[in-house]
Amino acid sequence: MQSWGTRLRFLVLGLLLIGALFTALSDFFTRAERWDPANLVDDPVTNWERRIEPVKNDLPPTGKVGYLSDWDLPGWKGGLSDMDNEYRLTQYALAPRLVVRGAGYAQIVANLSNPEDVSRIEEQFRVRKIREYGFGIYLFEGQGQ
Amino acid sequence: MSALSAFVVPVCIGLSLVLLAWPGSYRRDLGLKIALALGFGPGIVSCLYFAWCLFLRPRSRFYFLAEALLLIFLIGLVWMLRRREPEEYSRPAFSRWDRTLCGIFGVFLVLAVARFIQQILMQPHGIQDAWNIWNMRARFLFRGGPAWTDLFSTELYWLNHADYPFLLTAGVARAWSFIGSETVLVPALQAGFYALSLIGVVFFGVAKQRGWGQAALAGIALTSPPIFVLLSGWQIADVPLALWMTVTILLLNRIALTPSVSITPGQLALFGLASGLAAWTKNEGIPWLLLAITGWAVIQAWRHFLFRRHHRHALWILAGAALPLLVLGYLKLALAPSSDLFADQTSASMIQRLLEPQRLAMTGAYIFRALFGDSPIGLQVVPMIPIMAGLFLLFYPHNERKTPASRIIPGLVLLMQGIVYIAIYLITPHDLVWHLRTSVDRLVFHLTPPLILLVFSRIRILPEQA
Repeated sequence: MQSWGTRLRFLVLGLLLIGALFTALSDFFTRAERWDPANLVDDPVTNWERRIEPVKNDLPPTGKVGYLSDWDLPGWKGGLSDMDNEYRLTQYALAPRLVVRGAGYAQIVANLSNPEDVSRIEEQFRVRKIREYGFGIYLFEGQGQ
Repeated sequence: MSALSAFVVPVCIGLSLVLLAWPGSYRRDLGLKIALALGFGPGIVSCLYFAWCLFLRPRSRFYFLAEALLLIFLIGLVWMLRRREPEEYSRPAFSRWDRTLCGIFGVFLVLAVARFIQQILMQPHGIQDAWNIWNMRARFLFRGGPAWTDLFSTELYWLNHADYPFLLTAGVARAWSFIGSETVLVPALQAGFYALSLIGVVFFGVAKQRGWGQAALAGIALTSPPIFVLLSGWQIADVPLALWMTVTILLLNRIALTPSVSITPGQLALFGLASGLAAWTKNEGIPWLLLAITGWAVIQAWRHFLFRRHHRHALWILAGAALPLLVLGYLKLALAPSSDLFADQTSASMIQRLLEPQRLAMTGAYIFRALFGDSPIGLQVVPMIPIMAGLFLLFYPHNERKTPASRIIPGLVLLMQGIVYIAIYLITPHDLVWHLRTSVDRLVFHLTPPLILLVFSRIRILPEQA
């Protein structure tokens, strides 16, 4: 006849193992459901890197680069987290260059969702568009160093 | 060259050091030694590579020549200092329960690896903190040449956290330099090594105290919750920090159990190294280092240790911690901007925040919910800490012969680390809700693996142990 201590151990062991198996399997199948083969080539970070890649050819290998985006335009009312995320992605893609918010640099990378804002940027920050790379990415020439 | 090849030399360096430092024959505790090597090796070379980049040229082939020479030297030492007489030691017995549970653990391990691979494939660059902080800085080291220190400019966006320690960053940059290309496989492999090391330390650490079956249960407790696989696959620093905290607790436990005269210099040096590498991993590791050493000092004071021997032991701990502390010290004092936690803060402002009851109430509420599995950002969190507490209360063997009172010290060190985390939340200059939401789950996780190790090393849960 088993003691109550042994029965308790069997019960707890069983609960632990069943709970652990349920947790691990449900995590595995949830991930499997969310899996899309497109993830292999289509993750957001890789996509942004592809977008920024052509800009690197027109920048020095190191040093500082300015950064302007929709959030620098007067009256902008968009989502902060998207803008912030794209700024950080741009820094990641352009490392080891320092990507600094503002127009006070010789070269400025701009990320604009509306092509009509190019002239607003030029006027507001006294910069000149040099090149367009598609997907709203531009290179401007500034007056800073 | 394959990404995996970049980790061969580091792991061999780690294994050589552990073989030299661990008492007894090389075959004793071999599983635990290999588990430790998987973490110590990459950790040590990240310090060495960072130091090299500070004073010499990054991506220099001479660095890898120096690393190879270091490995040859260590292997030579291992060979010369091997025990020539066979040592008799008893391995834990392998019962039917042990076989069954280890088999079940094997299934969980395979599941964990599969889930880790799923996570890596979904986010090959890791979560935002991985590419925004750790790997972004690694790109500066890898691509920047002598200009890599530009990343310490005050104009760098504060959320890139240039002041964070460099264990992950230097490790990734070193591996990229070894294979000559930037591949997303390297950070993923590094994350995998630290995760495997943690699993091995918990498993073999418990096996030594309570046998294979209970070790398998500890391994299952660690690997089954989704957050372990998630944090590993995210390629961030929380799993490596949890590893060093677990290793520190393992060694502190051994120090607490072992008669003072039997503590070996090697164990003390490894204790110092693990504590130092915690500080080299994340800023949260800095208070951990101080608490771990304080815990050791309290154990010594409890034993009324002779003053002279106390000093000798302290020197061995310092010797182990020297490398990570030197590079961390240089980073913090000469390179990095001040931490965002303390920039623009005065003692008065911190004390004022510390004493605000609303902040304490909010922090307490978030931590309480996180402990019981209610993640503020919807992560799947299993309430492991309450479960461990419950197992400890149910299955602690009160009828065993009295164990040294100093054995409570490792648990107290963990508890103090939790209190430090609360204090950090109380004084944070950032929006408290934002800070809590984005980090509380991870901070609770830091404490979980060492607690799993401690609890499963103490309780007797298997029916054959009743």
